[in-house]
Amino acid sequence: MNISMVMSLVMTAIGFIYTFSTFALPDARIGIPYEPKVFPGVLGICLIAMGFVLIIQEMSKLKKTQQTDAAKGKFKFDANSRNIAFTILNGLLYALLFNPLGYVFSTIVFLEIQLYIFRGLKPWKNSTIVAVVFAVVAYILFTSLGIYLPTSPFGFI
Amino acid sequence: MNSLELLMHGFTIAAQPMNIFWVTLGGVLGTVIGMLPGLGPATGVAVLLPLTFTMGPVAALVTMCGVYYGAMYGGSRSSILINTPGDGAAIAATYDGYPMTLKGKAAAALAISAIASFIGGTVSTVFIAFTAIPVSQFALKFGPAEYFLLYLFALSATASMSDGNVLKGFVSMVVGLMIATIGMDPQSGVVRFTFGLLELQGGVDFLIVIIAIFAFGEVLKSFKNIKDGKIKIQKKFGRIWVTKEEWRRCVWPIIRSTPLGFIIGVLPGAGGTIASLMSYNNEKSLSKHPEEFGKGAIEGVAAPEAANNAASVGALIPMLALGVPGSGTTAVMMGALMMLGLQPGPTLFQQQTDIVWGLIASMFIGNIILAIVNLPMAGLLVRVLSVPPKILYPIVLGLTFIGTYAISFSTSSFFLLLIFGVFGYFMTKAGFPTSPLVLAVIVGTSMEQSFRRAYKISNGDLEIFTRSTISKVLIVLVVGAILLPGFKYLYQQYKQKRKTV
Repeated sequence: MNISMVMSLVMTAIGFIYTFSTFALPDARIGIPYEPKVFPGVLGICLIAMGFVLIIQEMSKLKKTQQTDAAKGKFKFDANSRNIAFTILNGLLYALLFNPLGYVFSTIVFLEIQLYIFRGLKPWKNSTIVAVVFAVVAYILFTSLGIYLPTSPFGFI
Repeated sequence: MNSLELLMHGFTIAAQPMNIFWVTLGGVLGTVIGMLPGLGPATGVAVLLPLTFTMGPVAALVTMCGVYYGAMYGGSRSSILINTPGDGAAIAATYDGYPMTLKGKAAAALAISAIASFIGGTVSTVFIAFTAIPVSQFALKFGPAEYFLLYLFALSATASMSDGNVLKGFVSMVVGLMIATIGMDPQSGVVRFTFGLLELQGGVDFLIVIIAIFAFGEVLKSFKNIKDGKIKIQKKFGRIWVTKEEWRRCVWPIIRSTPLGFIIGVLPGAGGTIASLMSYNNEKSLSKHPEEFGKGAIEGVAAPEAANNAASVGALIPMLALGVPGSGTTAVMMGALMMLGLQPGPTLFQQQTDIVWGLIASMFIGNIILAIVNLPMAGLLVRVLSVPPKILYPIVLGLTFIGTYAISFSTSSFFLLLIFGVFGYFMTKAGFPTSPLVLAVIVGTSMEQSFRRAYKISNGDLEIFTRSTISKVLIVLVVGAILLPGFKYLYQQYKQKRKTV
């Protein structure tokens, strides 16, 4: 199954969940009771219909592709996908560390990991300099602009 | 006051030293972001948006405009020097810009790109100054039904003119409208699609969606382009200017491409990419030496550069005067306006004269500053291209997180950033255009409210949507936008048949 087919199925599934959730919405207490459901209802039905057409299109494409090149368009977990997966995990870790460690330290950790994902361990000194300089400069810049970022447990930054 | 007097008034605001400083800073930062492969004006504005959060409205908007134009200029630098366009609008600059670099004429290519961009941008700003008021006055005739249809037209045109499968464009649009319905319904107070999450009661902030799709998702997309080592790039140039002969060859292409780009920019869904490609093909067909195109013809750089800058200015008309963004970048710009508490649309020209005319005047100033920055400082700016992307992209990612935090001051928005960023990435990978989604998220709430207001006024009679002449014209345009890809397909089939016969 290629990525286009997977996304078509995902979109159709979103359409179903959204439409069912629309019908489950409570009625409005003011004005026309069903009013908050009309617009979402139309959207949900449209997405389901378009999703089905996309799935049919993809299936006919898949048939043709299988005849010519079965592997074409297939999702592969290559180095690029690995980098993306690690970036997402790194982002989740960043979200968890942001408040407890403060902006500067959590950003240093986030960038160190991100730079490690791309550059490996060898240029660690250079990566550390980049991470520290970015975190400190961004902290100073944003706080001076009036955007207050969380400080570390040490209090100073 | 007439347009000219208002424009002069705008100059007194835009020419204040701090505003000049902000437009210069925005221009330089935008140029740097625009030079990064895959990152265009929309990403530039999205990433740098947080810098403006604490500024006044005029300062914030002139900075954003600086970033917008800067990214347009920057996109063509990387096209000319390393054959890698910053975004779609800069693709046409690779056709002849890079061959010029290979021939040792990089300085002339950079110069004509900056000059054409300057002329295209400045002349279009004159157009916008004189057309925006009539357009906004006309828009005052619009009621909720007309507004609903106008939004529908803008979204349909964007979805219909997206690259690849048109149906995917419409799916993207509908998903964007669905995202806009999350949260408490402003009219009835009913909480919709929050799945019990308190954080979603206020809705999904469209700025987070913008940053996620245009910045985070674009960076994820660029991962596969990250190469080892440094890119070899020409950093030393002679005098960055053009000869008399080169100028003579470019004058008419620039003059022809500017109005063309402006008109295409005004149309929803079109924009810089189509404008630059159309003007390139136009000049190629008009040239006495079409065989030189693609091999380093200087007019092949001048025409698309003038057109795409003119289009970027033209695209601001529907956004400012009607409150309807026609492209991804103007959607981000509209997001910036709404973040400042301003509602783009016809009343903006009546109620916020200082801001609107200060912004328009700053476009003139911004174009002058960017031409100055991009001519003598080209050698310095292009050094950014030699910084390994493996360092630059993680930094851009860091900026997306700080930007998201600055919007909500809550780390729960990081999860939304990741969800929408990844969703946007997979959408692009599967061939779904993301611009219709972003546009729909921004205008979705207004679109639904317009629909419901019209529905209420007419006591549930849908005939209200066909009552006025404006509505009828808009319905024809919506149907036209939906059917356009079908007509295109039939025309291509007809052409192919004729060829074979």
